[in-house]
Amino acid sequence: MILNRILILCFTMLFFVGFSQEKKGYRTDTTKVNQLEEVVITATRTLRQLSSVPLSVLLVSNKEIKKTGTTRLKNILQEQTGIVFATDASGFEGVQMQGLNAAYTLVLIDGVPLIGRSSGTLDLKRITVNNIKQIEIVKGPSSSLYGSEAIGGVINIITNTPNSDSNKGNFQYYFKGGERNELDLNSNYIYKKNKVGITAGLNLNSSGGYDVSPNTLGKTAEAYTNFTGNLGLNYVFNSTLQVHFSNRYYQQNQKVFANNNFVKEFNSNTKIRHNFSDNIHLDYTFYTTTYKTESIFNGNKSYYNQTLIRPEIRAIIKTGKNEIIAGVGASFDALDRTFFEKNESFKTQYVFGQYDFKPTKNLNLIVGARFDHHDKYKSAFSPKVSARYKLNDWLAIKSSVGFGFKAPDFRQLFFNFNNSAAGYVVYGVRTMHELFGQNSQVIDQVAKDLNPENSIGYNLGFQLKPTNCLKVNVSIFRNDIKDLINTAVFNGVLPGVNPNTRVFYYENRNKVYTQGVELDSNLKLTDNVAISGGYQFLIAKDKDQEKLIKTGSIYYRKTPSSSSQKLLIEDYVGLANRSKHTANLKLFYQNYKHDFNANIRAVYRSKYALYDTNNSQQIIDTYDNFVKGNVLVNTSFSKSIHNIADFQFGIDNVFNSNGIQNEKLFPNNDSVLRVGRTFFGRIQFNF
Amino acid sequence: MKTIKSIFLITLVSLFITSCTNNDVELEPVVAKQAVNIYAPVTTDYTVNPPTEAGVFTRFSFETGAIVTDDTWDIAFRGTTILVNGGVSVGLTDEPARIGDGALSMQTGTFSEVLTAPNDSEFNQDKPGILALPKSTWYSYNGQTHLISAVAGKVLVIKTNNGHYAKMEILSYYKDQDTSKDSRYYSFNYVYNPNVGDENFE
Repeated sequence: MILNRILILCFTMLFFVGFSQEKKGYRTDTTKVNQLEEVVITATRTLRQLSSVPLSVLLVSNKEIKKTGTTRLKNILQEQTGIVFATDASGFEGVQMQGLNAAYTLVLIDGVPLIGRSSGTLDLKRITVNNIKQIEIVKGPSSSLYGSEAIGGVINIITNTPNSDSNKGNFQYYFKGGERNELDLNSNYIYKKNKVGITAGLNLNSSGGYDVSPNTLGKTAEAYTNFTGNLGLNYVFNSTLQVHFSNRYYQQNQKVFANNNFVKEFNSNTKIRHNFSDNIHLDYTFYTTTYKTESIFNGNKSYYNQTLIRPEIRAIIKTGKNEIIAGVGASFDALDRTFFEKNESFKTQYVFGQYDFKPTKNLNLIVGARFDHHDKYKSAFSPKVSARYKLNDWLAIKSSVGFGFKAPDFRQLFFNFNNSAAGYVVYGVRTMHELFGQNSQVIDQVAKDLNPENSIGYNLGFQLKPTNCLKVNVSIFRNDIKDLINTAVFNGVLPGVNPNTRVFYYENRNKVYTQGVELDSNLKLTDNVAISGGYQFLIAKDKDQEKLIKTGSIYYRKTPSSSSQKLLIEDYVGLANRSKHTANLKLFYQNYKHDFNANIRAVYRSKYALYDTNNSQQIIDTYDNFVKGNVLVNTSFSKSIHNIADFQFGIDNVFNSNGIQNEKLFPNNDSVLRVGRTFFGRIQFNF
Repeated sequence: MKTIKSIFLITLVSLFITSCTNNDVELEPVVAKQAVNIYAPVTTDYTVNPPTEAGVFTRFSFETGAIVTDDTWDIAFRGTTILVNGGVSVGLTDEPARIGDGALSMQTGTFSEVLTAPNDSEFNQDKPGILALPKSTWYSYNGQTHLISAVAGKVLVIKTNNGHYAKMEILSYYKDQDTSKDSRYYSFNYVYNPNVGDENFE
């Protein structure tokens, strides 16, 4: 039904297009031939043409962000191929890439990491799309360059910096009605003259809160107001020395019942580039960030206070067509929070190197490695090799093998969480040894040192460009992850702990794998119409669960009260929250004569399980309850008037796909429901 | 000739006798049945911590396949607590007296896979403070849906109060096996061997 309606809409759009006149006059011949090549930095830490990078890289341009009328990073990312937003068991929503959870994805702003994760998940609604130049997404492990967390991939947000003389700004007013009741105000200023560059932006975002399940207790999202301010300063001393100084401040206030909850975040990055010679550049960066929250929960104040300081020095050496990068740095990470005994800190020192070379005309090889030494857990060595071979003008093959790792987080080492009402406590391994280090059962069962969770990722891709207006990328991926850290039940009695209380600790245990195929294509139908489509097929399974099923020790019930049956391996589904099929289809239309554009985007996610519902020892099989697959369709229309003002109107979730049919199988769970149809409007004035 | 004749006769007679004895020991077939909606109410006093449970246990006999009110019960239910008629009192309020020598063993497998009772060493009886069938073993509780479901792949083998063997698989804790209806209604499949001491379930 929904698909039918989408088809009709697509046809209507095409019809529309048919009547529009082709307009070429606004483009000069040179740009037609030499279209501005898209350049990315994340994949290699040097500027590279997107099409030449031997890795799976996705680029979301500022233009696309503008056209879609999204306000937060989450909204634009969820329309991209191979990116899924999933809500974990604790209710935190985060990005899933190559089938890996949000905890295994690194999110950077201009190359430096964001902190402040809840149970490993970074809230991407925190980040405004105001002031974003482009978003670069590298899929698969990149720990050889970025260290911890870069297992599933890296998302790097590149902010605007002036690159030619300019003095301009804009003011935007955005309002979204319906349930979201959202207001987004932006003002930006960009200046550059001679040696000085300034970028300044302000974003104010607020919502009246909403509730997708009014019949249950509590709101889906409470009302909030947040503010993001960013200020970047650029100064070119001379051709050999330039300084870039960027700051970002974010604050969110929320009133939940009578309590004031807040989140405060501050990032500051100083980068000095020293061009030692034409071929040798040195980059010195000094990054500091803090993330602070305070909230009242069940009458108790809970707080979270994290800081990260990261100095790094990088050298880039060019020898002909080859390039060497070498870097050394350190991280000082500290966290003080509720349920910790005291302020805890991590110290990390790291070195990395990468050699990017072309042994033959058509072959590009990149060899790199990184070594991270930590003071609180075992060290990690992450090598990576990638290659791109250009077979002919329309086909290139890309392939890479790399290690990824995720360091244990503070919680897994230092947690001291006591929920006596529910009868359980959770200890981080270090805390447990500190409190009960003499206990022989603790010594026997609980390892004091955790291994970083680690992976090997394989990617094989084909880049096709059969005609000038069609680009197709196909890639196959596989990630083998081991030493996943999970909670385990302590077997024994601890002094001072009620023997009926269950004691949990953390251990390196699980082995999982994710594999799949990804397809991304762009078709330029006419000068006015572009269509893009993406698809991901994904399998994500737990190797230990597979083993258990194969030994015939897992039983399930087909219906809640039918007789038990032995689970067969062909009925095993795999990890929770993974959709086998995800896809997107987007149609962009541009009318040059009337300075008007329109688009319609559909995002599909197939059914997925949340947890075991049929008693098969947490194993998800085909007879479990699934959240139904869904299609979300968004559309927007924009009109520019002489580059002075832009008007935009859009509808999100056109077909009001609110997931209400999931309510019966998954009661009291707002994550299976979606906000229905909403309308938004935006006005932008440029000066 | 005579000898051959007498041998023949003896063989015939012995065959006759043998078949007669065979007839004498032929076992009664096992009984496979389903018990539905065995109601096991409980009253819980939440004013004390931890809450206490009280109320008459619902007693079930595999031999009659029905609820009994005398001492010939094999297992008894109250809420999620299951007792066996063997051993000594656990120490619960309103606990029925045990006169039999019943016992219980939890086996892993599908219901049809469990063909014989296990060794005596695998059977448990109720003891002070310890149930032969600990609660955490036979069901799981879903905090999100608040539903109780019998753990899949668990078969209870029961030695009845008078030395018979039975196996059972709990299917549901809800009335008419419908989780939207009232709880504390047991439904289970069981196989009862009417021959004393015979450990087979086929």
